[in-house]
Amino acid sequence: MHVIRCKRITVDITTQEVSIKMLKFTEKRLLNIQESFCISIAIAIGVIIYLVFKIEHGYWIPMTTSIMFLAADQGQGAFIKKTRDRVLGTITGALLGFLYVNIFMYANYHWGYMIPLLWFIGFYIYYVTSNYALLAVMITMFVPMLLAAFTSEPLGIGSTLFKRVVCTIIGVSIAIIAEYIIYRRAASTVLSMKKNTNDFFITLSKFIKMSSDHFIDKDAKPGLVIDDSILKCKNLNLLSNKVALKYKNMLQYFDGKTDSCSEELNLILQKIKTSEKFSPTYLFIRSLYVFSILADDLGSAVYRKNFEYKDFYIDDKRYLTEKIYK
Amino acid sequence: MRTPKALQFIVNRLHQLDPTADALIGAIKCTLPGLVGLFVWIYFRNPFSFWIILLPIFAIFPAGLFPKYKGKFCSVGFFFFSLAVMQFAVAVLYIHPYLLVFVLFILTFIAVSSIKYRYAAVFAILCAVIYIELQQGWYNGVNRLIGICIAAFITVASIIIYENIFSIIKIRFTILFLMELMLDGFSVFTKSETEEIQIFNKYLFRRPLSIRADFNIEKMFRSNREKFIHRILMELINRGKFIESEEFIFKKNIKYRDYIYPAYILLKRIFRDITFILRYNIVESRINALLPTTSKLLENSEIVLRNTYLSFKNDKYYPTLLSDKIVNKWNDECESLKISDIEVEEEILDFIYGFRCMLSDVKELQSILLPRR
Repeated sequence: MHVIRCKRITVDITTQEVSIKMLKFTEKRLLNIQESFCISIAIAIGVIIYLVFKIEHGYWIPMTTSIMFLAADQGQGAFIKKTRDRVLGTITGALLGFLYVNIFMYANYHWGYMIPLLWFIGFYIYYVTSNYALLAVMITMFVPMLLAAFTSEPLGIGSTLFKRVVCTIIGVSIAIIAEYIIYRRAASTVLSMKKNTNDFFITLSKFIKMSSDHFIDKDAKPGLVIDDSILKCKNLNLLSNKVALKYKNMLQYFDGKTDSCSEELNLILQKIKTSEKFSPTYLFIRSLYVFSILADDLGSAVYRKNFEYKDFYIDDKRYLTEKIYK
Repeated sequence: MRTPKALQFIVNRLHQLDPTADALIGAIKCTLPGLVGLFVWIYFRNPFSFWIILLPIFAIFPAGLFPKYKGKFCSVGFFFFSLAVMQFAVAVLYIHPYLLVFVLFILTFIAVSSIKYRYAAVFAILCAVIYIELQQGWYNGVNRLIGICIAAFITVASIIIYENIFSIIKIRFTILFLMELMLDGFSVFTKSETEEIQIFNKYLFRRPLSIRADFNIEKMFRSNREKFIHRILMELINRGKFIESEEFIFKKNIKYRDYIYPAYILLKRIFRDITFILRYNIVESRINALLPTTSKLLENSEIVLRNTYLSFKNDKYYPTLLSDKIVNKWNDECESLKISDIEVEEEILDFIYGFRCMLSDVKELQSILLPRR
């Protein structure tokens, strides 16, 4: 048994848990290094192409590649959708930027003063919709607009735009190829789905823990306990912690783990007299029980791979009643 | 003076899209550093130093991900430091392209290795590669370093200005929105489908161009009411997190946050209470038979909740007290039900418990939000 002492808390964990945590930590670090390597290689290739072939406005290649990697910290998975958004956003942004420069700014420089307003409107729309493609549009659109405002170099709509669009396509391709070849796990949605599912259940676990902490207050509300012979505050606390822990480790239940939490809660529920059902403690234990059986059913359904929505209607009175009074 | 209809329509539509003004304030946050940079550039007129406009905008994005000032400043520092080193390497090594590529690769690798500041690092790389196109040399490198320092200063100043101006507005709008959601939840679950219900946020999350995968889970729910409460709960979980986590440095903001924080927690608690009355409609007739005062009390409570919201919103006094007579009568009915031998359904027990908690929580909420008036 190891005892890890932090600033505020003391946690007991077994050797097996330590080794699992270490493994996860190493895996995380390895993935991080792999992703960093992927980004650096992709950008280096973009710079090499630009410098070796001396492409006019070739800096657009590594620039597009880095814009593509802006979503790197938004979690992997859903690779195709994100790539589509990024490609669509980058090309649309470049087109819009050049069109604005050529149609408005070159005709009358006063249109340049509208840039902050356009920036504001663009970001407003992005924040309202949270659409990633729009962010890519915004960032790309302002590069030609600001270049036109502050440099003497003309940005022609014909050849210049064409060259930049070609560079954009090269940059996008480099990013996609690098992600597919070097950071293969990015193409798989399994990792992020597992992580998101785990996060979801950890949040639920926190909710249960929080409700328990607020509900079971040993010093302030001793009267909440129905009958000392049936249940003590300490026991109730232990049980609610068990349910919270169950949700925290939900992925293990998906792999076939079971426990006796529901049975224990059911036994307590059966001991409570009808007249005591008005007590908030009864409602609390019942909610804990419902949570526990839902977790059991969900875990076994995923384990057996026969999960169906209709099994889990939240407010199906019959379902809950059957489960509670069975 | 009456507001023109067209303007009112636009305001309503914008409120519907952005009820807590988060998008509006976020857009201002992104525009503000650029504008400050623009004024600085107009004043100095240093040729080709437009970077002092663009860089603060790019730096403020990753900084916004951190609630604490330490994180924000570290992110800004990381962005500008990475950029300064990279651009200097570009300016000095431009005559040795292979060495430049190698050095850029190493610098990029080091910068993006930090998970915490990776977003800032990628933005720095984005700017650094544009520098390759510009005039190179020691002189230009140092010149741009000065520009980067000015941009860093503008970014830090913008973050502080932003907190000073918008924090209270943001908190107030969030609390108002949560109160609207509370009212919506209460109205939806205490009225039958045939009754006319006034809902503030009927089109919750229905925004153009917005794609949300998490709505798929709504297949689990049987009625629109349940879907609606699911959406409200999603909003409740995500909105207002900044009230708990954001760090403020201005006294007025700290004071306002400390004043509003208990109300924010209470609003979440009231929502927990409202979820207990989720199935009121199923047992409405039975509740009215056992506790005849319930419908009157519900009506009274809705008025009180609405007036509490209006009092906080308009900074005006509205009657916000529950009728003691009705409350006492309802409590007596509950007590007599408790001692009787009648078998009571689970939904009714939930309702009684939830409603009792709600009454006490609303009283507490009023004591926080209304004494200033």
